[in-house]
Amino acid sequence: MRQSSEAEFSEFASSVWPQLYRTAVVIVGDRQLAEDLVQSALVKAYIAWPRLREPGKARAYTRRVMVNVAHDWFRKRSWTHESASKLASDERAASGDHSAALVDRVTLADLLHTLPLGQRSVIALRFLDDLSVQETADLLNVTSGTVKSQTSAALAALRTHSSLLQEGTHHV
Amino acid sequence: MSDQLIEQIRDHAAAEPVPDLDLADVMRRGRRVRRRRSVARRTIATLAVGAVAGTTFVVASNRNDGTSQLVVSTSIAAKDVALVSTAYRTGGAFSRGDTLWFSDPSYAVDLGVTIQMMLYTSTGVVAGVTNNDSGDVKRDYVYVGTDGSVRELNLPGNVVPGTDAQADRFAYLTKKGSGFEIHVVEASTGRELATRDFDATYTWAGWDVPPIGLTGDYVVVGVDQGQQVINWQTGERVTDVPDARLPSTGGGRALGGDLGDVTYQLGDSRKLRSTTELAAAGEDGAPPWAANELSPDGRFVETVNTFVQVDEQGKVEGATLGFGDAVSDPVVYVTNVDTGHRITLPGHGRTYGWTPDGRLMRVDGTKVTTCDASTGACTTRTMPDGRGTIRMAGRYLGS
Repeated sequence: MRQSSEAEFSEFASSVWPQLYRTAVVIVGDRQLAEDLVQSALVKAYIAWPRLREPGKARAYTRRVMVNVAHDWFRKRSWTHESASKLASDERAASGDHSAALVDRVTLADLLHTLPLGQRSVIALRFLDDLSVQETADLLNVTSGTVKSQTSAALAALRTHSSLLQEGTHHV
Repeated sequence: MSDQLIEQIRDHAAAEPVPDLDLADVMRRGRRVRRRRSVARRTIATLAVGAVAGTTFVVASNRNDGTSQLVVSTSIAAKDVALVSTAYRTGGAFSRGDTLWFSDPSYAVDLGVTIQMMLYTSTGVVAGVTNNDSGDVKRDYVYVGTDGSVRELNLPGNVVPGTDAQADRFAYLTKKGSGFEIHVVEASTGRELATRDFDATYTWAGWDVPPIGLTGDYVVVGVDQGQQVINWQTGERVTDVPDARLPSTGGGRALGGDLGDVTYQLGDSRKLRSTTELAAAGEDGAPPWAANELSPDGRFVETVNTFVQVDEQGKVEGATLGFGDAVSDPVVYVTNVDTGHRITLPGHGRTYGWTPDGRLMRVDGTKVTTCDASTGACTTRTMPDGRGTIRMAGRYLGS
């Protein structure tokens, strides 16, 4: 790859990394796994870079690879509950300061990971990556109706935890 | 209320500490694949064995002409090998040009030669390949494992091997005296497991040797008299399967009968199920017609009773029932051999292939769909854009 292309890719990878990582954490519920997932997706983006180039196209490509691989992993392995508790316990261990904000943050993490993979993916793609219903449907290979129903079900499930809603909009 | 909740989710994600990106590692891994893909290629070497971990490759040694190489690269990481194996059983294999995918675009093996067809084993596929992009010259065979390993098979002459989707094995025939010799080979290692002789008359097809099917302990050979069945473990010939000389085998079973419309249990050739009633009546007294195919696991039979009409470029224009009227919405029938339960799916004789575990698979552009053969429930995934048509595995002569 030419040096200028490498520089473009470096810029691209650095710019999308935080967002993709955060999306991946919500989808897979495990920080190490999320890191591996996004790095693998970026390797594929690097390989495909001469065809991608445009940041928008590259971002969409990388996101698609990431989601496909994540869903494949989860189809084969049952990590969900273990991962959720791992994330929560990691968070608690990381700080001796049991502030209300951190507790609520951990609580939301716990709640997110009680959702099925499909609902977590929909939540992450729609509200963190700001994809439309149709874009989300295309990415997950489901219908737009499925995206809507999964979004609705996920929000309803989260909403049942009343303490989250009583304490306002910002907890960190 | 939802808006408030969504904001909380966004805040939660935004507060997630982000580790540093190991960009050097990403680019190092990417460069490794790219560099190896750029090596001169397009012809096949004598041997290529790939021990694959992460993004690795294999370059074969040279053939006699000194220029031939089989260059392989794969995206299959060592940690994903078990996942790829599982995904392959339910998602099958398909290809476009040089690239073979096991179920998912993330699990790719690039061979450096055009893939024409793929046959399932339990550990990967036996792929027919050619170094001619148009795909119309002599075919060679390579084994491609779900671990990313690739090995040339060096099969003699103009043959089509038989594979067992439930075992790490394939079989092929060579001429021997007035008859033939069966070779059963462990696909992943190339170790020959057995050779067995048999005599039969074979004139009906254009290959050098009869077509062959392999399932469990049995080899099924399509000869002029019907289908001979031989236990390759013992060499013993057991009860023949009548008619249907192009073997369709799986799960210890094979199709027989005029239209391949009866499923037989190999060994005693006991009849298990008939789909004869699905044959469509022809015009002007022509006998009813249907085509049947057994799933690679032997659990299902796909029956097609429509003819596909194609134009001069081979593009499907439509379907007719038997030899008769046009059918606007053709279907295929899928029958459970054990229970007789039957479903229909939209399509015709060129629509579906199989996955190793007996799901139907179809390709529409870049969409690859697999359908549960019991319920008809389907899932679709999208493959990357690219030049050429995506070919499915699980069809005897390719798709």
